Amino acid sequence: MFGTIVLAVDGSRPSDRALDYAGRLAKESGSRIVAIHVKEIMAGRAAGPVHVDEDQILEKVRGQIKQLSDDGIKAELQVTSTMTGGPAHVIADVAAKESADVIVTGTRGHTALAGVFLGSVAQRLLHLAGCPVLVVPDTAAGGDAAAASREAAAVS
Amino acid sequence: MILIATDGSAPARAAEALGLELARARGTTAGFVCVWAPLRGSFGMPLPEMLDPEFLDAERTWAEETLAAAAGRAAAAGLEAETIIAKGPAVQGVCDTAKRRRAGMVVIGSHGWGAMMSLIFGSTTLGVLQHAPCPVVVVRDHPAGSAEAPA
Repeated sequence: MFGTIVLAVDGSRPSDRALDYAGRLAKESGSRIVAIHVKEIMAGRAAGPVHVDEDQILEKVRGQIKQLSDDGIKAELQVTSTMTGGPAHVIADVAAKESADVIVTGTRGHTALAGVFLGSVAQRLLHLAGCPVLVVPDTAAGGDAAAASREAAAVS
Repeated sequence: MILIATDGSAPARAAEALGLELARARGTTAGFVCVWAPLRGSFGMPLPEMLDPEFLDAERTWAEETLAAAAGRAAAAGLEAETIIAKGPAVQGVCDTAKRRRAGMVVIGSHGWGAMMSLIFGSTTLGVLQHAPCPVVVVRDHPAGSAEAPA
């Protein structure tokens, strides 16, 4: 039903959950996934990536997208850079450009802040997106929701 | 079940349309949930039900009518949807229903009847995002003629 899914990825655990869910959705609906990873860059003289392990993140997400493809899903990864604070705009723009039917995202990324439920990018995305946004909860149950609903449907 | 939270507002109707399509595409049931709360008096004190039964009825009736209208729209589109009425705080009503009915997904508008300009998004939507037991799809209401407007 979702022809094109734009999936926000950043290598964090909430992102992994969102990716799993998007993969399942795509398999069910024959959707294509456009995964987008936005590298945040710090401004200033010592300009560099916000995340020290940016290279590892990139390697991880590349591997994850390849796994989706190996699983028979049409999946591609787009990587761009932006100043800190810009990822939501970039993701929303990509979604518009790709005529996304839905944007799938986790609740938060690598933030070290405890008690933050919805990260800044997810919040901005909900505000900026031109299409529905599907937020995958950061719980194991969230990942099994699709299975649970199939089970429930089978029983009822 | 695809659980669609509705309060009859424009974003809610956009959520309804998407929720119904999702249910149809995935071959699962669709359910509308509308949460009502007893009218509160000054300082948030509940009005004594015995003294003002008509206030209670008005709130509950609003929820029933909202659900009936949503079911009517679904039927007009040739789709079946269950209607679930819930009482209490909105976030709790939606999330408890999602848990109880083992919903695979909650679909909700970005805002309800609140002013869209002043809020980034509605407080109920934010609360549901925080407490839902399953993925939540947030649907914005778009001006007619835009590419994202519901069919």
